[in-house]
Amino acid sequence: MTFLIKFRRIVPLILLGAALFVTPAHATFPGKNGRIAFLVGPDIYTMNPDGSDVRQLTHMSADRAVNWEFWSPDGKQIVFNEGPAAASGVGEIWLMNADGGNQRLVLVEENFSDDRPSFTPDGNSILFNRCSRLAEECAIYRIGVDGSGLRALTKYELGILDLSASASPDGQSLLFTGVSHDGIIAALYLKGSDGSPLQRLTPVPLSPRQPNWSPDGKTIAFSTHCCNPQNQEIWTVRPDGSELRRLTNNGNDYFAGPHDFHPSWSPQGDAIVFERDAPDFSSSAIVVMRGDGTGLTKAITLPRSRPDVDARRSSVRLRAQGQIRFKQIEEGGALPRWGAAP
Amino acid sequence: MSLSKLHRPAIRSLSSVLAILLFTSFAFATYPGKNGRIVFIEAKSGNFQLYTMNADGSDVVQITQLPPSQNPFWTPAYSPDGQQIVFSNDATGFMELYVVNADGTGLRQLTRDAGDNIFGRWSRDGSSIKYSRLFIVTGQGAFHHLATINADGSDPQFLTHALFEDLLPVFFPDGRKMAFYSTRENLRSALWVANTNGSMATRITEPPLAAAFPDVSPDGRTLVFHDHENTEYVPNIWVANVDGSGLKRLTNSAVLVAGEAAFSPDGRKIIFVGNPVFSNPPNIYSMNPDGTGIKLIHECPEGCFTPNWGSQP
Repeated sequence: MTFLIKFRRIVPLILLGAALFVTPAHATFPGKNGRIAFLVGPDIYTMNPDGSDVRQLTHMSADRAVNWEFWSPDGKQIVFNEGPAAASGVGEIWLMNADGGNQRLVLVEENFSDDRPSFTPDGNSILFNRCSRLAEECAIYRIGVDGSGLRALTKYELGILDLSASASPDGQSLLFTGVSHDGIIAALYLKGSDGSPLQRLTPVPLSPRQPNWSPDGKTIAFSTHCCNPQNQEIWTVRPDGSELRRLTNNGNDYFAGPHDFHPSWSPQGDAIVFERDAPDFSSSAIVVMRGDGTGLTKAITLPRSRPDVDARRSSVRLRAQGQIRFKQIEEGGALPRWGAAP
Repeated sequence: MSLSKLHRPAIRSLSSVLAILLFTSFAFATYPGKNGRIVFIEAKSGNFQLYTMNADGSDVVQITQLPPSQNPFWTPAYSPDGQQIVFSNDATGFMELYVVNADGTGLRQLTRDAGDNIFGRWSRDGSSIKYSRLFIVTGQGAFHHLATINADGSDPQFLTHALFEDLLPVFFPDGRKMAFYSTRENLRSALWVANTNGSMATRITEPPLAAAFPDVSPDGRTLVFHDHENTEYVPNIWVANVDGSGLKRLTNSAVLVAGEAAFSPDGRKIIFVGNPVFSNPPNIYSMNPDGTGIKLIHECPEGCFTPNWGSQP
């Protein structure tokens, strides 16, 4: 199929780019537990951790959408990704106050899509992934919150996508999802500030997504559909790759168990918020549990968060375009993120 | 995708390049038999049709007159007796399996599920066809699972249910096992061998090889395939024993970018597509199973794909 795809000169990573732009990963910084931010449709909302006092922060026009949000360490600001709702548009990086006020553009460049921003622990810089417009390659970049000092942190390499970067709470390590390194579809990687080589955190078959640092920097939560048959679950791992743990256990029948996505530690490190979808994806909920996986409590029920596109038709079309391989990467979601109380 | 990118050299070293494979003589075939004609698809004026030709490239005959199709995933295959060809076509708007006689008569549609049915391959006795069939998983997307259907179009069944891409199920000549390629285990691509009911699947190639597009030699001992599937690197053709040992690279992409290989029914040749310049349309070549004697047998100004060698009926 290599020839079938490449001869047609269609860039085979477009779908991956489009799909991953809505797949989150981030760090939670230490603090007192504050509000939880999440997405419904094209907009950002916040709520109390018990689901009360829901407030809408953005009001996107019909042709624009937010697909990513991330709290500042002090809980006073949110950096977010906004862009044209059409997949062909480039991602833009925006900032706003925690109440939705003072929305302002930080970065947009015509020839790149700049996506999935996160704050550094000092709150002065933003990490993000910069992809070529066709997402043939993506690397991790940093920029000051004032838009100055743009700098690459990982290499641009054809076919390699480094995505969803976040800094460890001590600022010494960069965590990201690496796609296509060494023949592996996706794995979590760490890069030290000392220039040491990339370290792969997760075993090859695991298929991890959406990593999130605990506020003490000792644990990373992520979502995976390991292994076969796969049900999406929340797992944790230490930054040295040890102590791989399955926090939610959704059984081995994909169509009988729930599906868990987008874990985010509480700033106090005592809980994890995540999205749990019904077995048939007829509804979604934002759920809170203790850091050890016990004590599940539903905070809020949401309308179905994954648009029920005609997957068959779109898949056929995409495969005909030579993009057979990235359909397994999930799309959509509420992306709950737990912020610190200001 | 620019030319410079396409020609960026592969940077990955493969220790297995040094592995040595001693070829035993090939006394049989993809399905054993005397070498017959070669079927392939060729683009003309931007649209694909099915063609056959002699092993030396002579006597090219167009055998389908289907509506214009730009979808290249027809992946034709001869039945074991060389009398029929299974292939996929999107005339209905979806890729469905079709069977046609080797002379182009008797076209009939096998699948009718408006899905995506590709990579049809015949069972040893010609009674059924295995293929890759799209399966929709809400919230995860859609995946091709291995499937089987009777040669008369009845009783389509899924065989595998992994939430990864399972592609190109090709029978071993004894009919008991099949090889296929898959993204299972979170890999870009790897070769797997399983029982023909999908059970006991075992991965036989290691990353970062990204092996794909297997064909089994007529004696059932050797797999031919290409590397760098689902990557930005250009492919080479390899062979290995069916347990994954004895890995050997046959072609060198610095000289000839080559892939989509298949054995001849007598096992003495491998047919494939390639071009010295990857961005140019691929032509059809043949070579010996040890990688020597590479020979251009059919030039395709707009590209040919997925040749398959039939037995003499």
